Amino acid sequence: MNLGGDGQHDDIRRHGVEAFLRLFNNDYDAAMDAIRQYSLRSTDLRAEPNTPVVISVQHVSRAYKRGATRVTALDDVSLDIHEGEIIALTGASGSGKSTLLQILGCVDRPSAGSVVMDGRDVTRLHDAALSRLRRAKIGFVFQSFYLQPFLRLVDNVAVPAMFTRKSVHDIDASVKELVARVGLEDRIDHLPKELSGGQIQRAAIARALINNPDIIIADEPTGNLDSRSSQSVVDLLKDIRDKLGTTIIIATHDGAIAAQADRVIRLKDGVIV
Amino acid sequence: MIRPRFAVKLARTKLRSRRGMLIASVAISSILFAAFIACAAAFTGAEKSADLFVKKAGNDMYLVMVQPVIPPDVLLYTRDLTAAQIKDIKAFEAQYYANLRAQYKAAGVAYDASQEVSALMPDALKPTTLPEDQRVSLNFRSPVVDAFRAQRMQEYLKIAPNTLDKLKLTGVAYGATGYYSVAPTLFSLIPNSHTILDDREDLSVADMKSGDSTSYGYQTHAIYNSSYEFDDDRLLDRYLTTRSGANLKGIPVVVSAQEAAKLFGKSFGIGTEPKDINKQRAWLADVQQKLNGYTYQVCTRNSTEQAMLNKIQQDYADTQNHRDDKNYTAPALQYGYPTSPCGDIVTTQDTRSAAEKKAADVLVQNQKKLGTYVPAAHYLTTFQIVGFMHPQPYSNATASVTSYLQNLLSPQAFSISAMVPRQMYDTLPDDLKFSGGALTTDGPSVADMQPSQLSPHVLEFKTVAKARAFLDTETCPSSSSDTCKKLYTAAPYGSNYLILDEIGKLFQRVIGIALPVLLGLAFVIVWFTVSRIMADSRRETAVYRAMGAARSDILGIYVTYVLLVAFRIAITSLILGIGMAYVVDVTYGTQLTNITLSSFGIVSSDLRFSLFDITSPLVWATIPMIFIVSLLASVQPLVRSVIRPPIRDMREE
Repeated sequence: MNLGGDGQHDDIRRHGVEAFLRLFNNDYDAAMDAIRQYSLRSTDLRAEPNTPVVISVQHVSRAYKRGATRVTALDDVSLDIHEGEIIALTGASGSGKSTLLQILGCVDRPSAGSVVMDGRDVTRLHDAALSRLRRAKIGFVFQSFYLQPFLRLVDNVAVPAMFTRKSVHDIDASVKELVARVGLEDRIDHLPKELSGGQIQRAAIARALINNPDIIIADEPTGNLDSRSSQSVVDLLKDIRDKLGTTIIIATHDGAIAAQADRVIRLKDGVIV
Repeated sequence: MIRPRFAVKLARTKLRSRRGMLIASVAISSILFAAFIACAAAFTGAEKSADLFVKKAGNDMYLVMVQPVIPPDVLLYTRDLTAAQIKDIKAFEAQYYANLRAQYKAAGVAYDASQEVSALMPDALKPTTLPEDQRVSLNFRSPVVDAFRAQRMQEYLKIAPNTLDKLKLTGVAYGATGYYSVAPTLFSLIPNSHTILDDREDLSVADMKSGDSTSYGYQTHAIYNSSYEFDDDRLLDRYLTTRSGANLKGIPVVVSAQEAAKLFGKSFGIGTEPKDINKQRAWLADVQQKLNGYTYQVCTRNSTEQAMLNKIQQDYADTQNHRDDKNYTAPALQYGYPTSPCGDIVTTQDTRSAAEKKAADVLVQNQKKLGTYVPAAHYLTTFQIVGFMHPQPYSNATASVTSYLQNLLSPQAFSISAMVPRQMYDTLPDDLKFSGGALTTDGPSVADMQPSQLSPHVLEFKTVAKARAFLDTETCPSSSSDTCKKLYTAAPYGSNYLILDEIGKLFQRVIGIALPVLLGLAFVIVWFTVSRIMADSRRETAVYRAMGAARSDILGIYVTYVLLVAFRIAITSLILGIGMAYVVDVTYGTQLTNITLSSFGIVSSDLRFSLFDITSPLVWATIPMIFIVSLLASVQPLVRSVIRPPIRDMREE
């Protein structure tokens, strides 16, 4: 554990001390909150892997208008994400984690700063190039799944591949393999309404993997699932990372989920804390 | 861009969202287009059918009957006689009677001036502002008037600008052919004729029977009235059930089916014409089948024999009136009815004195000297039915749809006679033709009063446009002969093809208005539907974009969606439209066939009036129009959806 003297580590240390003092003063709730924060922050202390950086976020800010109000969703955020990492983005609602996720997923552009993938500043790419990049490099998993209700599971999984030039045969083969990987081979002809929440999200993960992406962006993937299903989904993501080396970025409110990440990035009011 | 099979797969999922609205949109659009397709199919069928009937009625040509306009003053049809006309008539009258006196003198017969009938008679209704000698009018009982008018017609013929020869020169510019002579119907009666029915000659008074006093009424009594006219075979073709002149046993004649059924149908079990138009065709076919080739005979008695017949009837009436009068003396000379059909009239009693007989002999001698003696004679003429007309009574056009259509389709040309096909008649051996004496009429001849150069003729035109151009440029409508400033009056003959042509043009104009309105409505409906669907699909579109779909992929999916919707509208419209047209055809086709056959007078045909024809380009042009309108209506919502950044819809989560 690296307990160096930089500001970030001081902050972690402060949470630990605060937890101890709260316990000492019988302020149980406050102590638990401090312990939770200490626990989360302490995961940051894990060493960054030696694998290459797949996304480098440099001084990214994102502001937009909501009515007459100008909202700063991200404020000068810098971050490196390495290949094969599982990263948890945490923070309260409105903290900017979804905005950061969308910028990492190349569906949004920062107001300032740069996002470098494969040595290219993706913020400068035009729409078609961004689409190609997303298609080739990024897979998305959503809290609300967004499976097509009128497509069978097998077709739902294939959707991202439909935007590529892959042959139908290759797509079919990939779908079969992925469906088997997520354990839904006996549900291949089912419609989403015939699946449980956990099965749907597994299908969504298979869909995210269909183009063999380097990165999976999962926005609250367990938000609509019970704890058992949630763990099953996390296990699946970890398995994918372990077997495919895919970088996985998860936005989550769930401390237990975040605790299983390699690294936790906590956001508050648009800044990493 | 996304491959078509995937675009279809994803687009089809959209068809299930907002299903109610989509079904409503497809249904409304389809009904609109279906109505259009049904109208186009039905009208195209009607137009083609009408053209078939028109061509059948006109032997594949468009016929126009042309009548030269004779200035009213030629035959003195003017309201008031001018001083000059009165002077001319008086001079002609003086000469006429001078010639008659000279004729009597030459024949050695005493001339009785008291029997002269003046050509002019005082007319108290003439305005007193006229000089007294002009307050007169023609006395049509005077033989002078007919002779004077015949002379004026001959004089007019020499200078007439509208003779047949000049009409032919005019017609060249319009490609007119044919020039078939149509007999002037007013002179078509064979005088003093009696139809022989059931071996009995009808010797009743031969007043013209008219039924309802329209041409229909006269035509359906043409055999009874012995009213016949010659017509070119080509003009009668549509009526003919026998076309060969070989083996004819009498003068070929086309008669009204109604009269044939009435006079000859009883023994064949043919009843009167049913009123239900849908039953008329079967009745007509029955008449055609059973009475085609039927022969009947007519006995024509000349004026002398007719006078004898009249005397028989008069004597009988007198005897009946005086049967209680003991002082009544029966006529000394009495005749008896012939004992066999068209037999001789015999003298049954002659108790005249020697002086009376001598006076009668002198009269005959004088007539012989003057060349006016007509010995008693009768002629038996055999007719053979070779065709049937089916004249329609005049009816109130607003009484029913059937009446309206009948009036609409009924040809302008009409006749009061049975018709003898001229060329078929010419092939007859002489002994079967009209005997010369049978056709003799008193007074000026038909030829004098209406020479062939000025009689009506039927012209043929290859197209409606040429017929219309001729009619519009060279002629006035037949109904306006009194006010016509042109050389001819004319009307379509055989069918109302001009009206049908007008209806066709009207339909084109209606289509010209209805089509843009229809397309506009469809545009709005599709635009609304696609806009709503697009709005509902924003999140889904954003998800697709997140998955790597390019704008062109999204465009591909939604264009495919619009095409699928358009395809549904097109197929539904087509099936519904064709179905509607078919139902209309099944419901009204037979009735229209019967109406049209009757109205066009085509009775020897298996033509069917169809309201169903899907060969119209308009029917099939609707399909691409549906696709084009759908795509155009989708442009704005499509563009808006495609250019919308996906983050906007992901952020709103």
